[in-house]
Amino acid sequence: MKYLGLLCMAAAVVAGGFLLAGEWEMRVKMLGIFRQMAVYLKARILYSNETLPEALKEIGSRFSDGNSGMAAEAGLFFLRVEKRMEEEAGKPFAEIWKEEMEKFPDDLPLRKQDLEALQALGENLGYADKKTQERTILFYLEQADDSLAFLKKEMESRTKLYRSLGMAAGLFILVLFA
Amino acid sequence: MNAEIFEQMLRNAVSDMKMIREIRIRAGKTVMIYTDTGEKETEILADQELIRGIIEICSRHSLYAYEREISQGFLTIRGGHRVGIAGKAVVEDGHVRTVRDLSSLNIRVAHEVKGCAKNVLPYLMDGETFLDTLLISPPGAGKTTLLRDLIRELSYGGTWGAGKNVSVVDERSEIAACFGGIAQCDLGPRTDVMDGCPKSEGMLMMLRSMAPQVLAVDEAGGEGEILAMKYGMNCGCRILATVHGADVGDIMKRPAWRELAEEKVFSRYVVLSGVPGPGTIVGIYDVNFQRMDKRN
Repeated sequence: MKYLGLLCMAAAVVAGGFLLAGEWEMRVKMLGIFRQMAVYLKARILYSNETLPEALKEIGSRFSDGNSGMAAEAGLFFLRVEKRMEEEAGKPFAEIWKEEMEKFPDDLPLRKQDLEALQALGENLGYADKKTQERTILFYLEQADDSLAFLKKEMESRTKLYRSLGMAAGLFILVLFA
Repeated sequence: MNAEIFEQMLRNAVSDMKMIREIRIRAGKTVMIYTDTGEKETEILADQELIRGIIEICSRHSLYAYEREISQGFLTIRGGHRVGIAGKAVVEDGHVRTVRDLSSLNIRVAHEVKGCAKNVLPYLMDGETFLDTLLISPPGAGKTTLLRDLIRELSYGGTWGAGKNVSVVDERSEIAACFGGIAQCDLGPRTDVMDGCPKSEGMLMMLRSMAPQVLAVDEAGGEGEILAMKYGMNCGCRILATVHGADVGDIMKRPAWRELAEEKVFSRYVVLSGVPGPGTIVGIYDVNFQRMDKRN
């Protein structure tokens, strides 16, 4: 019975390490999705001259249908913003964007700085001319690229570290208490 | 005042919102409403915040998407309604780039009056052939409404003959009132719409791509537009166009139109007036400017 308990504890610690590594990978994936959506948004605004609701609906549908689970959250966010823009036409866009960001699930694998960059994007979209839209989106893309570059650089070593630490801690428990 | 309060006050001021033809909003002045029965001054005092709010709503928080329209002094919103703007023009290289500090709005409500072309159409036909027609009308006298219904009648067909393939170049999205690529107004089953496209370019595109029997265009008059209309006629396509003017004599003062009239390019001229109400037919004239609608 004692060995079974120890085995469970070790397994839990190992799983914790893998979970941390998975979270890191998911953050990279989510940031990548938001980045890709911003690229499409730029194209829809500059090339197709679409209004924000039109662009958000099109991109949101594409990304919510093509992904599942947490990865679909970004697409669903665009769709929620678009729906509220239709329903509450008189409300400022930045307010709707911010309020819908607050509805992200608690376990969304994005850090504070990722969310701040996303919020800043919403604060400046729709304002002034097309060049300003382009610059706003390009600024967001730059920030996302910087974050992704850092995350990707660190990802291999971090995920290895988390998994190794998890396994080492599991072995340590086994050796210590067996 | 924000736009939501304005909407509520407007509802209180007018018993039937469907009666509204035009709303004029000027910063610092009371809002004026024009209905079929005349002008009505409301108690709503407009300010720049209200004008900004209305423009935000009209542009769906996407002013950038209306850059071209705003530089021309108006934007067309969902439903084909036209919002005229006035304010401080920002000029660059001799051209208006945008308009800021908006001080006035003129919201013109688009109306679809099905059947209003029924009495006009027989004069525009030669057997089953539609004749090249020019609708002449001052602003706000129902020229686009009549054009829309003529397109619908031609597309559906009727006792006068089978329906025709009609191509519409709708530069300002007022004829078809397209939203998301779908025409909000009924233009008939044989109508193709090129939405938001400059007229001269759009006419040539439609001639090449859709092989129309009738090509319809609103507010023609530019050099390129006249050339495109002539090209269309030479291709065997019939033209249905509108132009601003009080009467036939009015357009004859403009060299390009006088030339067209002298060349007998159009076979029919329909003159409209806003008095006593929009859509009043002043006269229908043949190629020699002989009045036709009083012969019967």
